[in-house]
Amino acid sequence: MTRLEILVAAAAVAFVIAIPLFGSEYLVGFVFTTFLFVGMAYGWNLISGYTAYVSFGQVSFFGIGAYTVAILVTKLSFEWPLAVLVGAVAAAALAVPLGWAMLRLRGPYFALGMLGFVQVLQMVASAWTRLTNGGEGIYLPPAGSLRALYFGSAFLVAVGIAATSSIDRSAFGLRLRSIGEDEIAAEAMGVDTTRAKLLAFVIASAFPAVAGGLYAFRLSYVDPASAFPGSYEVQVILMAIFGGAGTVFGPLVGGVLLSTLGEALWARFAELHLFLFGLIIVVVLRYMPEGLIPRLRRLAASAAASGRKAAAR
Amino acid sequence: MVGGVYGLMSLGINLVWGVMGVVNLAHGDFIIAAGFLTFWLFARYHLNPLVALPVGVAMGFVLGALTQKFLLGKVPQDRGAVKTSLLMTFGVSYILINAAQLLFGSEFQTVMFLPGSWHVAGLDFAKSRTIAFLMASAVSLALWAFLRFTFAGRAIRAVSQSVDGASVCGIDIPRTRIVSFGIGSALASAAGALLVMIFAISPAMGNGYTIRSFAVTVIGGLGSFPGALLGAVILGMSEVFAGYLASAQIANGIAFLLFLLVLLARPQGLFGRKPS
Amino acid sequence: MTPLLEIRDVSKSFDGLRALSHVSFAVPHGKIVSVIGPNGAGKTTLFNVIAGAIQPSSGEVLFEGMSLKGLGPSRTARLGIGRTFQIVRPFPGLTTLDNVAVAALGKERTRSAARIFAREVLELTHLAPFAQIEARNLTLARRKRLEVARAIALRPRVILLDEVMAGLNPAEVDQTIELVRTLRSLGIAAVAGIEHVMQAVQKISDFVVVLNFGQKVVEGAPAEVMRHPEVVKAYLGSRYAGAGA
Repeated sequence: MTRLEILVAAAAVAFVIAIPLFGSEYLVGFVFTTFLFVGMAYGWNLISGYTAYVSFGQVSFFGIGAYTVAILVTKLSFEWPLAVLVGAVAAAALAVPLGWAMLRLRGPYFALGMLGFVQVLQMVASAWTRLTNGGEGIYLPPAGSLRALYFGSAFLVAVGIAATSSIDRSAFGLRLRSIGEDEIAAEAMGVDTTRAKLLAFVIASAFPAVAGGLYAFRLSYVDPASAFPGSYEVQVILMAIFGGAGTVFGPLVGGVLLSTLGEALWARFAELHLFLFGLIIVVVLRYMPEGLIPRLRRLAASAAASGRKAAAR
Repeated sequence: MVGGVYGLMSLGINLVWGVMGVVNLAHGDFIIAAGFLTFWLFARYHLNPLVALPVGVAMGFVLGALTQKFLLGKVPQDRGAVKTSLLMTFGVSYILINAAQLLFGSEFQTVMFLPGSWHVAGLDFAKSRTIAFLMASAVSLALWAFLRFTFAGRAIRAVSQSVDGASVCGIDIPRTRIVSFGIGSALASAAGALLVMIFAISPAMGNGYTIRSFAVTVIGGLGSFPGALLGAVILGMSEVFAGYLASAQIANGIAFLLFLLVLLARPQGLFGRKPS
Repeated sequence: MTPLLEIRDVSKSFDGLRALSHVSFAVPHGKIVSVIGPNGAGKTTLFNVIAGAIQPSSGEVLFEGMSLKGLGPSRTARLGIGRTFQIVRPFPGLTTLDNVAVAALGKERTRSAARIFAREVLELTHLAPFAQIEARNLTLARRKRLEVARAIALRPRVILLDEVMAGLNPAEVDQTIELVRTLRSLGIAAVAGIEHVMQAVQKISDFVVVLNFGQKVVEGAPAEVMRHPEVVKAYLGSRYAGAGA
C-alpha cells in the first residue's frame, strides 16, 4: 500500500472509532444503519457488479440472517455475535442450492427468479409459525450496547472492502469480470463459469445475512414484513450502482452519499422517499449508468489527456 | 375465470418481451396502479368500472409509452443493455408503487361492483368474475385483431421477427417500440382494472403480480398467445387448488414455484419459441 | 498414430433442419485443415459441435482418442481445444492484455502470472502496442487477431478458426496467413473454416475438407479439391462444373 493509502485508511479508522466516542446516539444509529447498507451493497456488488447477474433477492438473505439470529437468541440463548455468524453461515448454506438452481437461468430469468424467491421466503416465514411465530413475530431481548452493534457493522464494511479488493485483484475476480462481459466467450476460454458464479453468489449472500442479524437486534423485533423489506433491496442496489458496480469503493461511496441524502430527504419528505429513490435509480441509469467512480475516473483521464495536449502545444 | 384476467396480464408481457426483448419488472405495478385508479374513480365518482376501464388503459398506455420513449429507448444497445433496462424497470416499479401509495393509500381495496352470482345450468357464476372474464376475452380479441389487421399491429409483428428487415421496409423502429411498450402497459392496466373487481388489492402486491404475469408467459411459452391463455388457466387453477389443499399463503408462492419449475425443466414452455 | 481430432459420423439436426449429415474426417497433430463450403454449409455448426457448445444428434468427436460427448465448452477449452468466433466476441470492457489473460488462467494460477504469459502471446501476435487499450476500441482486424491470441493463450493442441479472414482487406489477410503459419511453428493444429477467401486456402492448408448442405463432399490436397467438379458446382453452379480448372 502506498503511503497515501495508509494515511487515508488510518484516518478512516480513526473516524470510525471517534463516532461512538464523541457522537450523539442519533449519529451512531445513523452511521450504523449506513454501514449496514454499505455492507449489503458490497454483497450485491460481488454478484451483480462483477458477473452482471442482476439479483433482486439479496433481501432473502437479510431475512434469513434476521430470523436465524432471532431464533437462536430467544430459543437457544445464543450470544448475539455468534448468532450473527451462524446466520451468515445459514445464508451461505442456502445460497449453494439456490444459486445452483438460479444461476442456470439467464439474465432476466435470474432476476425474476430471485425476486420471486423473496416472496416465497416471506410466505414460509408467515406459515411456519412453530419456528417463526408467523405474523406475530419474535421479540428479542435488548441488545445492550448500541456501540457493540455499531462496531459489528463497521466490521462488516471492513470485510466488504477487504474481500472486494482482494477479489478484484485476483484471478477469481478476472474470471468474474469475464463472465460479466461475455459469458459465452468466457466459457470458450476455459472459465468454469458455473463454479465461479456460484462462489460469488455464496460469498455475496453472507453480507446481507450479517446485516439482517445486526438489524434484528437493533429493532429487537422480527416479523415477515420487517425481515424482508423490499425497500432495502432498492436502496442497496441503487447505492451500488450509483457508486459504481464492479468497483472496490463504489458501494462505500454510493452508500454513504445516498444514505446521507436519504436521511435529509426523509426528514422532509417521508412518504415520498421510495418514489424519489426509484426516480434517482432511473435518472442515474439514464445518464450515468456506469456509476460515479468510473465516471469520475473517465473525467480525470480525459482531463489529463487534454492537459497533456495543451502542454504539448 | 380468473384465468382470463391472468391471460390478459400475460399478453402484455408477451408483447413487450417478445417484441422488444425487454423484461418489464414494473408490469405488476402497472396492474396495481390501474386497479387503484379504477377503485378511486368508483369510490369517488361512482364511475362504473367497466366505463373506467378505458381510462385505466389510456393511462397505462401513456405511462408505458413515456417510459419507453424517455428511459428504455435511450439505453445503448450493447451488452449492458439487459442489465440496465432491468434495473430501470425496477426503478419504475418503485416509482409506481409509491405514487399509488401516496395517491390511494396503502390499504387493501376492492370494487364491489356486481355482488352475487348468476345461476346457469346448475352452476354458480359470480357476476363480477364472469364480467371480468368476458371483458378480458374481449380485450384479447381486440388485441388479436389489432395485430392482425392494422398497420401498426403488423409493424409490431414485423419488428418482433426481424428488426433489420423491418427497418429496411421503412418501419419506424423507435416509434414502434414506444407503441408496443405502451400497449403492453395498457394491457396490464386493463387487467388491473378487471382484477380489482374480483380481489382486494394493495400497492405492495405489485411484485406478486409481476411474478404471476411472467409465470403465465413462461408456462405457456414466450411468443405464443394461445399458450399464454392456457398458461393462465393452469396457474389460476393451481392457485385455487393450492388454496384448498394447503393455505391461502401457499397459493401466493405457487406462481413462483411453477415459474421456476418450467424454466428449469422446459424453458420454452408449452408452445413457445426457445428463449434467445 | 491416433489423430489429434477425429470427427466421426457427426450429424446435427435442429427441429427437423439437417445442419450436418454424417460428417467424418480427422485432423493429425500439428497440421492445418481447411473446411470450406458456401454460406450455410454447416461450418459453424461443425465448430460448435467440436467445441462442445452444442451436442451432436448422432456421432461423436474424439480428441486424442477420448470422446468429447457431453462435455461443455469450458471443459473442452481446458482440455486443449481453442476456438475463435465468426462474429468476434472480445470482452469489450477488458483491456487487450486482460482479454488474453482470462484464457491464460486455464494454466496459470495467479492473475499476475496469467498477465505475464498474456504479454508474451501479445508479442507473438503483434498486439503488444495495444495491451492497455480496451478491446471495444480495437479495429476489426485487430479484434480478429485478438480472438486468435486468446485461443493461443489456452495453450491448446488445436484451434478452431471460424472465418478468421472474413471481412479483412488483402493486406490483413496476408497478416492472418502469417499468423496461422505461426501456429504451425508452435505445434498447434488448426481447423480453419473458410467460405470464400480462396487464395488463403491454398497457402495455409495441409489438406482441405469441403462441406455443402451439411455433408462432406470431398477431402484431399488443396489443389485437387479446388478443381473437383462437385466443389466448383457448389460455389459457382453447374454451368461451370464441366469447364475444368
